[in-house]
Amino acid sequence: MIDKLIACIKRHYEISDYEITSTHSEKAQLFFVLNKLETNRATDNTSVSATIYVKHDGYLGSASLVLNAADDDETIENKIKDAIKIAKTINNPCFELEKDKDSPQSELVSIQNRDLKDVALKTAKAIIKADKDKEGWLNSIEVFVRRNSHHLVNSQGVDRRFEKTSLFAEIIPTWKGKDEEVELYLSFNMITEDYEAITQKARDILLEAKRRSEAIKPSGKMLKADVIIKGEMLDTIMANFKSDLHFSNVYMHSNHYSLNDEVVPYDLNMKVKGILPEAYYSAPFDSHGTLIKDTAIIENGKVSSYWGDIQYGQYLNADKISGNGQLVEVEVGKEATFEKLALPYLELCNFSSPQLESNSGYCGGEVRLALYHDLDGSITPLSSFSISTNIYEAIKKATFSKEMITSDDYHGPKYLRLKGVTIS
Amino acid sequence: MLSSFLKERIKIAKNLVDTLSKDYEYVSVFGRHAKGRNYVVTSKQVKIGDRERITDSDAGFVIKVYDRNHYSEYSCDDIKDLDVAKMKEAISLKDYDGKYVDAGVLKDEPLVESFQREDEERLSDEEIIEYLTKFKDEAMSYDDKIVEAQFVFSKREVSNIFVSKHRTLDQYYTYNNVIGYIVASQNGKIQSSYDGTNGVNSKTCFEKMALKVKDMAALACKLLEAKTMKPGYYDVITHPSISGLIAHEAFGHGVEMDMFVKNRAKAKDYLGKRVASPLVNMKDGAKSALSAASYFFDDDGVLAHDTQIIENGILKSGISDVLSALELKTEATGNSRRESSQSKAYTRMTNTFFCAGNDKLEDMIRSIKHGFFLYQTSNGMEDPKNWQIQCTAQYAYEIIDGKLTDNIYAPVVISGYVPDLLNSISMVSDEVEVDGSGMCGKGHKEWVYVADGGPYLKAKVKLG
Repeated sequence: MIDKLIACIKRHYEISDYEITSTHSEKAQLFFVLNKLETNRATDNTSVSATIYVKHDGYLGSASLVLNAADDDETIENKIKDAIKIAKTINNPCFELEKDKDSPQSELVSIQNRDLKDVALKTAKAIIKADKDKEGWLNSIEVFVRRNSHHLVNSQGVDRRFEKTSLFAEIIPTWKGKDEEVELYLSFNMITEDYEAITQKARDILLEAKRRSEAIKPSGKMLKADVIIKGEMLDTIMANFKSDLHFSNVYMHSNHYSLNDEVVPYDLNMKVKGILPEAYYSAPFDSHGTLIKDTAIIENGKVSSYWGDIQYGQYLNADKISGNGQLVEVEVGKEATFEKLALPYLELCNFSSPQLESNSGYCGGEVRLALYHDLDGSITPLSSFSISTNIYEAIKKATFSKEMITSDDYHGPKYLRLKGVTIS
Repeated sequence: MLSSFLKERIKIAKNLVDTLSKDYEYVSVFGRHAKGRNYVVTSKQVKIGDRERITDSDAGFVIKVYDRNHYSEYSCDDIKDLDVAKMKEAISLKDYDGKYVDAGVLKDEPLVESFQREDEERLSDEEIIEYLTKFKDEAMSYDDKIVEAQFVFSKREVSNIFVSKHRTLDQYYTYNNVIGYIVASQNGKIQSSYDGTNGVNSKTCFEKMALKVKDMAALACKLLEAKTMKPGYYDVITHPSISGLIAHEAFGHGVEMDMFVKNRAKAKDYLGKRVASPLVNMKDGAKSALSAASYFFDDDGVLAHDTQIIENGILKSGISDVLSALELKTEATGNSRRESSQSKAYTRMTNTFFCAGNDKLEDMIRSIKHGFFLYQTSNGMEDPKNWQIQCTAQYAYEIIDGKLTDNIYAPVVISGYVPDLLNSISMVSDEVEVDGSGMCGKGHKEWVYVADGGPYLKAKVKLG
């Protein structure tokens, strides 16, 4: 399809530049109800997207198009003609496409087994192995194993590829409590075959469901405890700081922080990265074909750089274009880290859906499971309450664990301790 | 009209069904061709292009078969020259030694029909950009505090075919949205407002949006004064968009009957029982209203329904996809929906809304001593097993002594126990709005267009 598209583009002299991305995707999927297989699926699909650029009157017009199996030669020709017509009406500032043809510095980690069905069946088996309790069980399991092959070319000679095989699983555990059954939700991505780790994840979420079945509403001193954030909420918070400093947000005046602004009064360092060994969203290059360069965006608590893609980077006359890295790495200096969590604290384990409103800094949500760790070492499971704070203020007094973790898009301290969070 | 790509594949699909029927007890072929285009005007840029989201730009097929004790599906780009042996190998499960659900064979009642719903007010690219630019300019010039204005027009066309041994269906429909997003900034504070319009006909969407731009800009500036809500229980009035969010999150997800099959929904035990105030009536159905979620048949070939979920506070029915209905021995309600031709069909909501009551909005406001008027959906999350909800309203105005004040709060999170909320509904306005600008995921994936809405509701809820 790419060759056909390039041949068609080259017939039109008005097109000054182009970018084309093709993704071939194969998947094996399994759907279980109460550990019995209901449906299995296999998919084999290719999609192609392209952006064509037309220089006119000192501007750079562009139009993007998606091509698929429905597009025959005549349709492709018509789509290109239509795209040229559109691009000629668009008066955007000029920028130059990626020209760098270097190779990526790091290798992507990916599942090596070529038999996707085999990986899916082994994953399902590993999850079901965790279901061994009388009072708790897995209501629903979905397993998706996918191999995506990406190919990007542009008119400046950039020609890059990468392939990633990964798995995604969704598990819904239920636990029968004294009064009623309760459930939790877990989904995760993996880029390695580690079936023991999968069993452990399923086991852990079952035991969290057990704790939710024992949970009570917080009261008294629990409402004033420091809050420990981890997992998805921690990822969401860090992604928000990263996103705020993206070239496009700065260009559109939607950023909260500017260069040299103090984010926190302690030694916090944040980098945007393309590849981390265990991070699912690792990718060597972005949608413009730019190799992702590690870029420090917060150093010693202050904004040191913006980051982002080649288009908005050029609009802002940025010295260095990082590329659209999907990952964020965080390091915190000694004064803001802790070795061991000091009692008492409220550990937030499972949210309905973590909320963070980037403009106002509102951060919170309804908590499905939290654990109150009291001074005497006792642990009380809590549920059915909400938390809220302004993250831009709360982060200034935050402390971080020395223990580190890598998630789908984050590498850094595993726990974040916040003071003064409203619990209601 | 139906895409020529799918039209040309109907005969091929029939032949494929015949061929595969020799090996499988049930065979169907679902074809999808979706085309979506975005027009974006910001303060500094214009962008036009095909929407990359697979829901909007998609061409492909799902071949579904019943293989002795389970269903298998194969998704591919095209069925022309399909390698049937490769397909059969891809879906075979010879290495699986576990148990199966085995729901039995799907019904295949004879039906041959074509359906169509066209945009009758199509605009040229130039006219669309002209409208959007006018909105952007109006917003940017409203106040010095406005630092960014973005307006997006999205148009979508969907063609589907469904072919089984006894059924041949095809449909074509269109739907459009205009969405605006305005950013205001002052003294280091940033706030934004957004709103949208939607409908089958393009020009009407723009005309409706033209009436909103000034209010959106004013709201973005006003939000700079927004206070933080003090957590607590309050009397509230919900704008139809918030009523819709509550309908969707509080009960919509809870009556998706694939949740019943998995024993994931408390609603299963409440059929025929009281779940809400007697003033509450609620519906879902692709035929219940006209929106982006309105189609003629679903992605497993079942005709669109208009399902009464709650009647006078009593839970009457859930909604279901074909497999869940088969497993529960009920009738499918036309709610099998796929994110794309690459996805499985799940039970999904369509147009979910509370029905009108008899109260006047003015009387509802007048009846509140101290409370809040909640506006504009931000997001929500369900918990069908334990009936907890979390919904976020973009902002709220305070009501004091029966009068709406100028005191604004943002954002506002509504949370609590669903029956408490639904039973607290004490007034229901006599007008209903259903909005179709949003998308909904199953868990955290499988995004489909949905609409929700309702009348203004008076209730008592926990805000934070």
